[in-house]
Amino acid sequence: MIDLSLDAGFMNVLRILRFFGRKHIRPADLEADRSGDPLPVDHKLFTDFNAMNLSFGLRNVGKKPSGPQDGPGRTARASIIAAEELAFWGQGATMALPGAGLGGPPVGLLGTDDQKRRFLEAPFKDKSKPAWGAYATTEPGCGSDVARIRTTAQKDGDHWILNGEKMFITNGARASWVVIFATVDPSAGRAGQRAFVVEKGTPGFSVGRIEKKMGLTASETAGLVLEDVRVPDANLLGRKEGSKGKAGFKVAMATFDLTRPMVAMMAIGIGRSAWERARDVAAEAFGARPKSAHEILLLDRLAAAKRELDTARLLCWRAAWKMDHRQTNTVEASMAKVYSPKAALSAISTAVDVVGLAGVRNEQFVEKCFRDIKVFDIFEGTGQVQNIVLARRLLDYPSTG
Amino acid sequence: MDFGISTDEQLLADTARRFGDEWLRNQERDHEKARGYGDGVAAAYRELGLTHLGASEDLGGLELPLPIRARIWETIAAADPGASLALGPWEVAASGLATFDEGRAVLRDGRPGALVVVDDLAVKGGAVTGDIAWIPTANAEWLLLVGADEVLWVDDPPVTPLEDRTCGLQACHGAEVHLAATPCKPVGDRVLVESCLVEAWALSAAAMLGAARDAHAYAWQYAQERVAFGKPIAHHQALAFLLVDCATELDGAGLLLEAACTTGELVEVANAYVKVGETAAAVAERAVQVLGGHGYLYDHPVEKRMRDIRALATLFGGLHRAATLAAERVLDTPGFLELRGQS
Repeated sequence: MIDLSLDAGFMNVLRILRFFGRKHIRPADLEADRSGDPLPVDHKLFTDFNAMNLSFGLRNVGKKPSGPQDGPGRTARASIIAAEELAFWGQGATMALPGAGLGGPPVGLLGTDDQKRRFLEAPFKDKSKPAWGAYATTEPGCGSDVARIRTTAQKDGDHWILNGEKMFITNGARASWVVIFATVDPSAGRAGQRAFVVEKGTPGFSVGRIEKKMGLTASETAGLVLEDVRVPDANLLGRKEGSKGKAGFKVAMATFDLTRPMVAMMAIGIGRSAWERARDVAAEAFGARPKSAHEILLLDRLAAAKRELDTARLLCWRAAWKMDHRQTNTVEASMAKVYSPKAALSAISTAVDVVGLAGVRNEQFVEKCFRDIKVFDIFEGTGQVQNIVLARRLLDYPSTG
Repeated sequence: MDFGISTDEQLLADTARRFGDEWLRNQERDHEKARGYGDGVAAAYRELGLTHLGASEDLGGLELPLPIRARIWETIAAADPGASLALGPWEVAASGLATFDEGRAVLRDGRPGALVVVDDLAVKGGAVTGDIAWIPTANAEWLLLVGADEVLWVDDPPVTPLEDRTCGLQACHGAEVHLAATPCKPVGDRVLVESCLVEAWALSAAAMLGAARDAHAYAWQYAQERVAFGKPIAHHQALAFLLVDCATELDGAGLLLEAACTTGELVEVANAYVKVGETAAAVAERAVQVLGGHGYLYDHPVEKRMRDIRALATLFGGLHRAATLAAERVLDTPGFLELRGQS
């Protein structure tokens, strides 16, 4: 039988995150949203976060759980529960937190010991100096269809020459290094792709535009430009198995089995924060007296929104549970990802209606959630891409379909 | 957190599946035409203990927890959505019936009857008056009337088997009931009302879920075999997306129902009942759509699944009543940590 209880270890993680979220994440997230700019690299949030020394989330991708009954350390379950809780307090600020970010999994899974030491350990040793890693596949001309990337890598002795442009790169401008996906042969599609770690300050590697976005303002989203960037062989990922870096695309795909439920849970966290605000507003406005038809209708919509958020959370938890039990979870991960952002958007839209005209004003938190949430149905694979994944896995839908 | 299924649970579900395949699945149209399942099916159902899943051991029951009973009902409903309701109608009221003598006798002897959620019956001086347009039990020997604040027991109610056919659940052979100062007896207050709703909504939702899963599986198979415009219709994106959307919706609704049954809390079960009911109706309708004109024919089971789900969703107060309850209580919903029942 399904068992949704969380043991003391998980509950402690949640308590810590709730404290940190309320005290640090939410104020920083609102501050950035109101200023219209990403949190600066010297923001106190980042040193406070480093001081906590939490270990979960993307840092655990590729690390084996010690067992199904593992505590809240290296488990997908802990990662996704943390993702919901932090997103509840502010996803923009959470995405801005220091660490390897989405760049961590490819280095962790494909990197040599030397690469792991150089990129996952050394930059993050000094806790008083926040540092970031980043991950770059998307380009101005290709998003979902990552096989079509046009950034090129040409071999030149013991170096590679990279040329191209990357877009929508979280923490891209502040990152000490970025995992860049490039192709050695554009006509070869996925087979021609390689992943390189490009370090900040490498000649020809520059920051393009810092994007102005609808939401998630606290998080920096950058464009990156590569003009004859010379990257040493030692920075090519996927060399350790003698694969000459060919495993790049495969790694990108495998990472999704954890990141998709995580992103889905972030959407649920944002949806829940708006939902709880609306519940409190409704309770204060008309909780203790007979309801008008209009109010009853709003309560019905609130209840429906809760059903959808709860359903979405269960889909995410199942995907993470399967991963922790070393069961294939690609289908479950895509189901969670396709379902949750829509459930969250609907919940938030309901919350705006409950708050009423004031719901569109920035001082009423729910409008921020409305702006923050939309991108969750776009990044980490759009809803439509998830459906293609599901159709291929379940219906033998052709890849060229 | 655990999403696993134990060996015992799997064994019970397999037993139910085998029963459905052997006794129900391919005889659905015959049962519908005959407005009944026949003695052989009823005997086999009883023999396997499926009539006594919820009753306590001293009443000859298996005393299974609600999530497992729901899984069994879901499995049988995949073969025939109305069978469990017809062959063991006391199961949806097992916990309520167990609280008073007449009810315990029903559970022990397996007497047919119906649980009805009512709004507008007049109760005066130990008698009840009012009409019930449809119960899915033509030979009901008892009624359990679940009102807002009390539960009434009616022994030997004036039941008239229906002559006209119902939209769905036709093999149950429905009846109408005209209560005219019919003697009744209060058997419980609000606490019993809530436990009756939990059980009836959970098992009804399970039946709808099983029916919808089966319709979906049938359409899924059909879409991979039927060719149009040079390829299987499942490989046209419009249908591929429709089918995988349904799969996701069904999985989500199923998880919500299982979680709600595990908590046993009324508001959680009400929410799951609404979610499952809405999902099942939509999925069954889409299954008919996938088969196109063939879906509309008696040659395939999908049209029957669509009708049966429509009928099921009106029983026990219907989805709207559960949605109303969920809305009434939504402001009392605790936060996430508290939701998990931990401190």
